[in-house]
Amino acid sequence: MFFLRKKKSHWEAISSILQSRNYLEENSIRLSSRSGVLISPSDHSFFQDLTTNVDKIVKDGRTDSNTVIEVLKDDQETFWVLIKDEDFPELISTTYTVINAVSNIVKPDNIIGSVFKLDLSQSKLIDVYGKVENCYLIFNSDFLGYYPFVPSGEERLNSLELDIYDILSSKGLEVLSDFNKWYGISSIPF
Amino acid sequence: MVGENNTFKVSRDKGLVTRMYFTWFLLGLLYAFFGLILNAFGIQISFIVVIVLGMGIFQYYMSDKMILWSTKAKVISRDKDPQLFEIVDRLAKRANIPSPKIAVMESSVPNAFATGRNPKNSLVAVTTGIRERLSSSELEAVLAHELGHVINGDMKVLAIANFFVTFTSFLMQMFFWNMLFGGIGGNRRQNGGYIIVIYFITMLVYFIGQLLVLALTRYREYGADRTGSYLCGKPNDLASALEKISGTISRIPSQDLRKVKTASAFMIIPALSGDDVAKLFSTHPPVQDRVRKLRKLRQEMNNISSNG
Repeated sequence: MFFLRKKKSHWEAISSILQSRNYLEENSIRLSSRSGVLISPSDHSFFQDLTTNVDKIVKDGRTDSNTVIEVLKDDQETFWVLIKDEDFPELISTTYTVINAVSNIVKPDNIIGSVFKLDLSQSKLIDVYGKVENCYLIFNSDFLGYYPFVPSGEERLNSLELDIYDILSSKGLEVLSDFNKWYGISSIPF
Repeated sequence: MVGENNTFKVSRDKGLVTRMYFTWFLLGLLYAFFGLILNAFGIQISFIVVIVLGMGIFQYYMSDKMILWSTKAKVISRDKDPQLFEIVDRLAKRANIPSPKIAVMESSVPNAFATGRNPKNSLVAVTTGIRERLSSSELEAVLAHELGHVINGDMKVLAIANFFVTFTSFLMQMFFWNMLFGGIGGNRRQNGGYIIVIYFITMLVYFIGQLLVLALTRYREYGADRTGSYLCGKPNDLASALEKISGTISRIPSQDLRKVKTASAFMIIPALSGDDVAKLFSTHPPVQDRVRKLRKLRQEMNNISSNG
């Protein structure tokens, strides 16, 4: 049926995972307490001391934060801002803060993507696919949607990705339904 | 699910059955109103009904031969593909229907279809492309889906539904030529005014009827997915075959996001996507919807077998 879709804001899209979390857990898909924001560098002064700058943004005005931030440069010359927080809403909020800050201070184009780790060890999907080492949700800031990414060596488990997508898309999570945009990210450091 | 006496039982999807009956109801209602309108205008349609009915009966009885002719598929003997025969025989035996004829089309495009007015006269055809691309269990699931069409009597259902649309299409053409060259049962001057009105009403009925028939064909696909899944017991393999056939998996890119990010075009998501409109005019439901239903069916079937 026809209906008009109101385009969601960046925050609405990324935080949709907070509403879907319970449903995912009902399906024994757990979200880990870690996320990563992948950033491409530029000549901007922000990158001269990225660790301090990011830390300053994240901790700004907050004294009780338990968020742990780590910045590293990978072998493809891109930066990872790795975030760890046991408080899941806080993890999402901090991830958004980093994306928002980099977009405003440098350029939105510098954000390549944000990554969240999924734990499938208790899921029934394991009965079909066997043990899965790493499973991720990638958030694309350009198209404001999540999609699953399951690397397996040099390959990807596309069938499992589609199975996860089916679960994700049934309960309010902003998912990227255009499979052509499901680009993978190699060497995720967590 | 294989029951006693070697027959299998399909647990019905009540929602799907309701939607199917509702579509039939709407189709009946549409044509009942249309009949009343034609009657009110004093239009004689009996000869068109006879022509369309004759065509429909011819098509219904000759469908297997016509499809073989149009697709250039060739009926094969057992020694040409013993594995294919073995799978089809096994499924037909489980469904308690005679084994259909098997045909193969020389095409790299992966596809399959079933035709025939009843199980006794049915035919299942596959392309060489599907034989190469699917594993044997996926092939079995696809063949079970095709036999699902035969078991559910889809040829009969769609022949009846298409009768209405073909009938309207004939009427439309008749009214068009009448508008140009003269009225029905009278002269052009007398009938010219209302013939335009009735022509546009017929167009509207044709359009709505077509949409309803397309909805019905999509429901029959879901129905065949369900019957086929119960027949082979492998909804997951049918889902995976659909993903392979439709090219869903091949659409997922293999490049790294880092490399494409700089080249990616930024698009504004349209308020009404083309997909929504395309769905209404499609004979088959979207593959992702079918896959989603099949995954659910797998869980449903698991629950049935674990509850005894």
